[in-house]
Amino acid sequence: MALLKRLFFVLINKKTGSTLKDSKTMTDEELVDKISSSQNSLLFSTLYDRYSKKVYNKCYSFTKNEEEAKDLTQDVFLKLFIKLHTFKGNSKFSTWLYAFTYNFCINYLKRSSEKKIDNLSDSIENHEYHLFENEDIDDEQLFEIKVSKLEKILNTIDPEDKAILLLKYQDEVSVKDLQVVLNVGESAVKMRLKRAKIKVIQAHNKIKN
Amino acid sequence: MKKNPFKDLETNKEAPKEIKENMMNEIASIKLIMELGDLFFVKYPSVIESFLKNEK
Repeated sequence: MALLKRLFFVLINKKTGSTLKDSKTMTDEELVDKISSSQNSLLFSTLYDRYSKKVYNKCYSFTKNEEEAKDLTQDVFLKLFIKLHTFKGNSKFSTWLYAFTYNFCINYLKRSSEKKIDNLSDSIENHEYHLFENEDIDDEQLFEIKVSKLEKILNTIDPEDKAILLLKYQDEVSVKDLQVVLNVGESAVKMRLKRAKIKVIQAHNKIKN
Repeated sequence: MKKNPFKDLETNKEAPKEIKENMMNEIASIKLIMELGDLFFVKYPSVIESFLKNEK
């Protein structure tokens, strides 16, 4: 009986070991497919190992607080485990995950009363429209902003604007993929990007003056 | 072409180790709840249904 028991455990461990070993060589999409169909938490831990650092740093960029970023990262991955089947493979998994993370952070910030956007962004909102129709911001103009200033500005604008800018310029997501992950049309993506860029330039001008 | 400042905004911090442990524990609880839900709300009703059909 003891021998049978030992044999059983050896077989189980071998299977678990080989599953983990196989998962290391799988593409993200293959891994997601397997997890969705089997709810295998060991496979999910491989996915966690691949993306935990990225997700943690993205959460940190929104909260600027390590404890909050830690809690958010944990919640993002828990929600991911439940919602993984909604990934349909229409974009790269990493792109989908980053958009998923940003959405989670946006909702968190909206819920959190301590993190309300300060007066600076209120005044930006007030001036939004006259620049809206007239200006078209090109990327060069955006890239002229110094890193420290850009960081400050991104913390004052609407988190949704911040998220779309980070997706486009930090994660290098194309407009086509933005359409897929945001589930909106091309013109809506371009409009949102334009609005976000205008807000950044306006905030930058305000700091300069 | 100027250097993209958005790239330099990204921090490079390591995720704390305890996140994984907490997350795996939570996932185990979620899986247990999902399996119990499946057992009581899907499997048991279907067994009772097929039992009652056979009885008729």
